[in-house]
Amino acid sequence: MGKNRKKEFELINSIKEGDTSEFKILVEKYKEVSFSLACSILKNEQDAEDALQESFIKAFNGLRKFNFKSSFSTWLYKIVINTCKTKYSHQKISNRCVNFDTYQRLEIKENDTPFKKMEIKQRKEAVNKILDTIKPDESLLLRMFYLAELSIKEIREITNFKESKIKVTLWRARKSFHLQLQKRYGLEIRQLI
Amino acid sequence: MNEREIRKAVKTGVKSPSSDFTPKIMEKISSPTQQTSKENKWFFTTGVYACWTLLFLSIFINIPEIQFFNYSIGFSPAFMPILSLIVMFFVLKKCYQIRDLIRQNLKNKSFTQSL
Repeated sequence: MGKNRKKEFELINSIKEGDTSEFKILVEKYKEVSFSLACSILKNEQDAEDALQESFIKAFNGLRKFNFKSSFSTWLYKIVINTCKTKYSHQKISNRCVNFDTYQRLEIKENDTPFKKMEIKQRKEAVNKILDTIKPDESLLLRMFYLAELSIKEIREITNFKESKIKVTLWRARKSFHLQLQKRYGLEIRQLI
Repeated sequence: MNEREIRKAVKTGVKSPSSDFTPKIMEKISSPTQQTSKENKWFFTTGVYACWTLLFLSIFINIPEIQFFNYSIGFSPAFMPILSLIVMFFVLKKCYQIRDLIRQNLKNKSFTQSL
């Protein structure tokens, strides 16, 4: 067991024993990645934040049942994704893929400043615009694999997708991401980083 | 397009929830109602079971001597008071636990607010 994981388990045990204030450390550690995953499904920041809040409270209430068989992150992301999917199905949203035209305000024209010289904030917005434009499953898997750094096995455990589906969707996601980047900004990924 | 480039690009786009996200969560989980509701539910369920058990005993069992189906069971006259004391002890213990939990939660709430 890694040092970080051991430390995390000690932290969880202390929360289980009643030191609820320690939960703040876990929220701070996982809120950004969890929020990004929630945004991939719900495509709306307000909904994603509500779902994330619900997920953290569910995680806190269910912490006693957490048996350390998997890592805390896998367990938490599973709660986040299930909560978002429930919220998504309740809202019956037909097509949550954000149309690129809705981002007129943020559109970057070809003649604008070169992408590489853009502010970090603008680059971040551009990446998120692309991730919001591609299919929810694709953006979710891209974020799970590259942002949350989960393995295929962990993704399978969380999403219940078959391994072959995960690999194919990831391949498609990479392709979509690349295509959107070229189409919208005429840039290669290496110019983005 | 290689793995490393995609990883870096996707990491660039990490999103953050609102700045008051963590305090909101901590406030919600530290509220006495949030935590005590589960404890209360447990306490009342146990209380109801205890009452049903006593009711069952009072209907079918004649203390100190009972005829339970084909068996004759003899109880000491002290059985009922002891049983009552056990139930009372259990109920009081639960009451103390809930009181401690409320105190702990209030302490955590004031700690979260001070952050």
